Amino acid sequence: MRGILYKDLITVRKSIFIYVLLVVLLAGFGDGFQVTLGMVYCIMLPVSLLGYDERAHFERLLAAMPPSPLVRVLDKYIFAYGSIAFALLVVFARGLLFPALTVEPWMIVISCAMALMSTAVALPLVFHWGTERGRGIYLLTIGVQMALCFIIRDVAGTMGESSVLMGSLAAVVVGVIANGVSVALSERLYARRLAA
Amino acid sequence: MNIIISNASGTPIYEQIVTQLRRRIVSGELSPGELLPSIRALAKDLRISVITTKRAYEELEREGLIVMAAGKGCFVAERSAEWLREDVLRRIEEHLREISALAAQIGLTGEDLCDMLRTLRQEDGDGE
Amino acid sequence: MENRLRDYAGSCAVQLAGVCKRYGDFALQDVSFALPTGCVLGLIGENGAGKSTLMRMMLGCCAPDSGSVRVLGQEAGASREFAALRNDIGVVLDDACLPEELTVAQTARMMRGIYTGWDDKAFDALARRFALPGDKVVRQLSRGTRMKLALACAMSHGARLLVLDEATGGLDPVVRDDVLDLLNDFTREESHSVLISSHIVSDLEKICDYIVFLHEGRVLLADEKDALAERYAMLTLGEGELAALDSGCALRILRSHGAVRALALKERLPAGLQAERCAIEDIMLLLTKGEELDHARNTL
Repeated sequence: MRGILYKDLITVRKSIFIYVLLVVLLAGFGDGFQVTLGMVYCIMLPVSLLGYDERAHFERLLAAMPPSPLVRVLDKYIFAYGSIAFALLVVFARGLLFPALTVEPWMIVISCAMALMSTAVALPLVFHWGTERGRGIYLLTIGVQMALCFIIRDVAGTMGESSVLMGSLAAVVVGVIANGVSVALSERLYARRLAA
Repeated sequence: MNIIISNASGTPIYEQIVTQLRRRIVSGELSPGELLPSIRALAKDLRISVITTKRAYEELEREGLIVMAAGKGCFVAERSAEWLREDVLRRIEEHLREISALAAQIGLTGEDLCDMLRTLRQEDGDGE
Repeated sequence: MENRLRDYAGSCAVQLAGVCKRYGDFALQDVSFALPTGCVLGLIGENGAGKSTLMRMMLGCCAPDSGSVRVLGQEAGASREFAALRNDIGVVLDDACLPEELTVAQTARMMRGIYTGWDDKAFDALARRFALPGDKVVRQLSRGTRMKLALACAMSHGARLLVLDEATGGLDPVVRDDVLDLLNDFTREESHSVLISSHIVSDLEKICDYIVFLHEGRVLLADEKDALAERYAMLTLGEGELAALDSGCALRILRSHGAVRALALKERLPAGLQAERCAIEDIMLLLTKGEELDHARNTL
């Protein structure tokens, strides 16, 4: 695992600048809607990394190396979670530095949940279809999530503050479980694609 | 171990090795009890197949020229050079008796025979 | 044609028995051979003969429809035990397939985190021997340098088995010679075995102990490389002489420019018939493009 993570860290250095900039702008200075976008954008890194792997045909070599199918996919998920964590960090920093620009807590929590759902849904599809078609898929996922945002905002408007927070936390739990399923699914799909 | 392998010649490679090693053992260049390179080391040094060197060594062992001791290595057999040398000397003596008898038929002396031998060996480039 | 590696009894690094696989309109049929431990086996066949598929099976990347593939004593496949065994298998694929954005040193560091037996000293020695550049990333390296890097990696993690899939194609002769030298050194150790697949025959001719000819998914011939020249001979004949040969003598023939080239068994040759020495390339040519004599006779 260490080796693959290291490889991805080095590889991602090229694309990371744009990503960091975008997240800092969205999550650091945007409104609730844009914070959500900044979080849901977390799958950009894993998909980009898979793109690099594909171009180098590294997957062929990886299939012949010791790391198990689980490790092969988990490494990309870790980047997604790292991205979410980074976005969270930016939001908290913003809360500390610019208290006036703060975003409602429940919105941060629900954004987390949506980012987790994004990851859970998009990554298996990208592992299965590769990054060419995968890119379209993850953009679609983001689009769908953002549309959901509006609906959730409206629904939340009608509910009390504490129940909204409860609901958001519940959504996070669902997101976590979904990721568990997603990892298992990705493992199988990726292994099948490498064997073909 | 300076063994020369020729890929172009018609002789199988293992035979070339056997011939060259045999010559060195008989001439005494390789002394009895001397350690030879292992089958694998020889193969890798010559850049040829391990199977071939194994076959060459097995052939030499069959002829009694070397001994392969498991775990210890391959050695020139103790009495091999001596034994082969005696065998060749015996055959030369037999041939010499024949030659002597033939020479007597036409009155050639020992001196004449020596001259003939000397000339022949010069022509052959000293019998290589 | 004989497969002398079909039922090899001794200790083997790789053993295939009755391997069959069908995909698309191509099929591997009853492929059986073994790589005895400590030896170098060359798998020769034209493009599309099935070599790469067989190698992927040996690496546990894909499974046969039927038959067994055993590598280093274990059944190759997706199991956890075999995944651990991959630490003992060094792989070099055509195209190297290394991550493009890493430098040589970073690639080594990545490998350190992937293989349990990674040896930095061994890698550094090889990197120096190959004069691998320190500042460029893999994407900027020439194909030859990339292959050298891949080979250095494959030989620096304590592997007992090296699997090279078309690893020398596209390399200039100097580099290829370097590579063969390295493989030669690798096999000084009794427990080290090498399986190399290629369609560049001259390379295999130099270092292999055994040769397996694969054609259209079948093993046509498997034998000791040095024995090939002793068992088989090449003939160049006219049609009349060909007709005069015993059946079973000429195994494959190829007609070109009015003459017939035949691959024949030396022991069946009639006395006094002039035969040429048999090079592996000739055997490959006649096995792939030639026709069997009986078939040819029936069509006359």
